[in-house]
Amino acid sequence: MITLRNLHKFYGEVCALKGISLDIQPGDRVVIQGASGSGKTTLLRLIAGLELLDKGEILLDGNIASTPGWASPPFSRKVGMVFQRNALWPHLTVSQNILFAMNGVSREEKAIRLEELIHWMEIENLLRRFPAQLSGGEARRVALARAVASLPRRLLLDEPFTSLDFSLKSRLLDLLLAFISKHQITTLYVTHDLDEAFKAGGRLIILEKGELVA
Amino acid sequence: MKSGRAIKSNGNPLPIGYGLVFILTLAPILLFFLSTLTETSPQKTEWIFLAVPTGRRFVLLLNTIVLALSVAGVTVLAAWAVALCAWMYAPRVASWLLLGVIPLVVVPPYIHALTWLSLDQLAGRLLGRWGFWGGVPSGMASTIWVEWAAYTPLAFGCLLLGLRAIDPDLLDAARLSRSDISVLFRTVLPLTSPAFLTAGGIIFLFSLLDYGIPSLLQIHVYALEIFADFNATENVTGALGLAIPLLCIGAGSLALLLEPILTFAFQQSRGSLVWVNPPSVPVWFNRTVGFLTGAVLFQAALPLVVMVKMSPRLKDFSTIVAQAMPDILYSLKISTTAGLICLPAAAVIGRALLQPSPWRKGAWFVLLLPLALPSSLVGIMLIQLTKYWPASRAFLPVWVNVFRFLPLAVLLVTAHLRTVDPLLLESAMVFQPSWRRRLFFINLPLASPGLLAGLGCVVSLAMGELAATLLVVPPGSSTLILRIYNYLHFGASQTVASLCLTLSLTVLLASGVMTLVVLWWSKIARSSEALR
Repeated sequence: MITLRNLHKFYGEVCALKGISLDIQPGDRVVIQGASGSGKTTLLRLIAGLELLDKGEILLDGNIASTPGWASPPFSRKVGMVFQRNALWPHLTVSQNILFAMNGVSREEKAIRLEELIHWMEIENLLRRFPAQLSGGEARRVALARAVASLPRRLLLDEPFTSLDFSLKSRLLDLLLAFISKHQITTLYVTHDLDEAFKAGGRLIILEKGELVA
Repeated sequence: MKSGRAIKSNGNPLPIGYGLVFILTLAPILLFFLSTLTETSPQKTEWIFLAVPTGRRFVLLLNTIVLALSVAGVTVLAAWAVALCAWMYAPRVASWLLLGVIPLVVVPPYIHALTWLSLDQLAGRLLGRWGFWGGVPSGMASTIWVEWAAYTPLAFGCLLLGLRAIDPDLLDAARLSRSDISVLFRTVLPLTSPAFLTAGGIIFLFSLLDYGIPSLLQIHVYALEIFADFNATENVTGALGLAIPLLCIGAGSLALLLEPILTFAFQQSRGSLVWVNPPSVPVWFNRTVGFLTGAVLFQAALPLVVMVKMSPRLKDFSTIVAQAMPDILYSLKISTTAGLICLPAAAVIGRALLQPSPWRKGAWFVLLLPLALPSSLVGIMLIQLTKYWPASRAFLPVWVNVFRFLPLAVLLVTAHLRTVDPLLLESAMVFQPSWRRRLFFINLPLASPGLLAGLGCVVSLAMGELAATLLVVPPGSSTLILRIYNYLHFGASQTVASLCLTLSLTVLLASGVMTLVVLWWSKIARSSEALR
C-alpha cells in the first residue's frame, strides 16, 4: 500500500506539489494526468525515493519511507520505474541491463526470469547488443523488461510510450497490462495520452499546478 | 534564374586543418627520424643496440615504468575518492572546487618539490639534533609523493568532470535496483572509465617521459638518461636510439588511450545535483573516502603554507623578484607568443577534426603524439631541425612549447566547438553574406570560451616547461622555471620560495583570468538562451 500525506515539494520558490494526499491499495492501478509542469514526474520521483520532500510524508506498507529532508534508500522500496527516456546503461548489453536489475535472486532464478522476460517483450535476438545498437522501440522494450525484472511490488511508469508509433504503443501497452495483472503489481501510470489512459483503466487522477483536482 | 548575392560558405576545413597537423606535428618528427638515420653511416649501428635496452638500462626502464604506474595509480585513486565525495555530498561546493582546481592544474610540479625539500629541512632541524634524521629523503617514495601532489588537481578535475557527465537517469535507474555501494562500483565506476583512463593515462605519460622531479630527488629515470647522454656526447643518433623504448611505450599507450581521451573530451556535463537523496553507504567506505579527501586537501594546502612561510620580508622579496625580472619577462614573452601561435592553429585544426573523415582518428593520433614523446627528445629533435632552417634557432624556445602544448589547446578548443549549436552558424550563413562579419560577430564570439581556455592552458604550461627548454634556451637567456630548477638543486631557500611564489601567482593569474572570462561568457550565453 502507498500512502501519501499532505505532500509538498518546492524547487526554489516554485511549488511543484501542493498538499497531495492519496491512498493506493495493493494491486491498484492509478493513471495520473496533467499538463506539463503539473508535478507528475516529481510525484513519481518522490515515491521512488529519488527526491526529498519538503512537507508531509510517504508511507509504504504502513512504514514511513519519506519525511521532510529524509528518505529511505530507493533500493529498499521495492519499486520498478520506467523513465521518460530509456536510461539503459550504455556499458552493459541488453541481457546485462536486465540482469543487473535483478537483485537478491539466485542464478537459476535469474536465468528463468530472464527467459520469461525476453519472451514476453520479444527481444530474444537483442540480448548481446548494447543500447547504442537498438532502435527506439527496441530500447523501450528493454527498459520495460528491466523495470519489472525484480518483480517489484510497485511500478512507476513515467510516460512510458512517448515517441512510439501507435501500433507499437498499443502492442506494448497490452503486454505490460497483462504482466501487471498477472503479478498484481501496484501501478502509477503517468500519461498525456487520453486513449492510453482509458486503455490502462484503473483510477484516474488529475494534477494541475501541483494540486490534485480530481 | 539566379537572383541576389551568393553566400560564400566558410569552405572545407579539412585540407587546411590536416595540413596544419602535418606541418606542425608530423613533419618535424618524420624529418628528424629521416635526417638522423640517413646521416648515420651504415657502419655505425650502435643506435640499434641502444634501442634495445639490456642490463642496467633494462632495469632503469622497468623502474621508470613502475614509478610512472605507481604515480598514476595512487593519484587517480585518491582523486577519485575526493571527486566522489564532492560529487555525492556537496555538489555546489564541488562546482566551486572545480573552478578552484582548474588553475591549479597548471602550477608547475617544482613547487611541490620545494615543499618536500623544505619539509625535509624542518624535520632535519627538529629530529636531527637527537640523531633521528639521516639526511635528505630521496628515492622512489619521495618522488611518488611529489608527483602525486603535482598531478592530483589534474586527476581530480578530470574525474569530477567525468562524474558530472553521468546521465542522472542512469544513476536513478541503478539506485532503484541495487544498494548505493553496489551502484558506485558497478554503475558509476564503469560510466566514468573514460575519465579514469584519460587522467591515469596522461599522468602515466607525464611521469614516464619527464625527468625534472626525479632528478631533483636523486632518482635516475630513463628520460634523464637521454638528456644526460646527449649533454655529454651531443650524439643525436644515440639519443634517438636511447629514446626508442620510451617512444614505443608512449605511442602504444596513446594508441590505447585515444578512444577514452576523445570520449572524455567530448562528453557533456549534465550538472551536479544528482544525489538528491544522499547515498547510504557503509561506514568503512565513508571513512576511507574521508581519509583520502583529508590527505589530498592537506597536500594541496601545504605548498601555499610553505611558500608563504619561507618567503622573506617584502623588501627582500621585491629584491629577489627584481633580480629575476629578466627571466620573468623572457618566460612571459615565450609563453605568450606560444599561446598566440597555438590559438588560430587550434581553431582551424579543431574545426577540421570535428568533420567526419576516414582519417580523423589517425589525425587525432598524430596530433596527440607530442604528448607521448620524451620531453628531452623534443628539445633534441628541434635542435636537429634547425640545421635545415637556421633562422628558426631564435624561435626554438617558442617552437618547443608550441609543439608540446598544441595538442592540449586543440582538445580544449574542439571540446568547446562541439557544444556550439550548428544551427547558430547556419543561421548566420542565411542572414549574413559577408564571411568576415560572420567570423567576427558570430563564429569567433561563439568559439571564444574554448579559445581562451586553450590560450590560458598553453601560456600557463609554457611558463612551467623545463625539460625541453633546458636544451634549447639560447646562451645568456634563462626562464624563470630554469632559475628555480637550478636553485632547487641546493635545497629549499628563501630565494626559491620567493621565485616559486612569483611563478605560481603569475600562472594562477593567467589561468584565473581566462577562467573568469570563460565563466562570464557562459553566463551571458545562458542568459541569452533564457531569453529565447
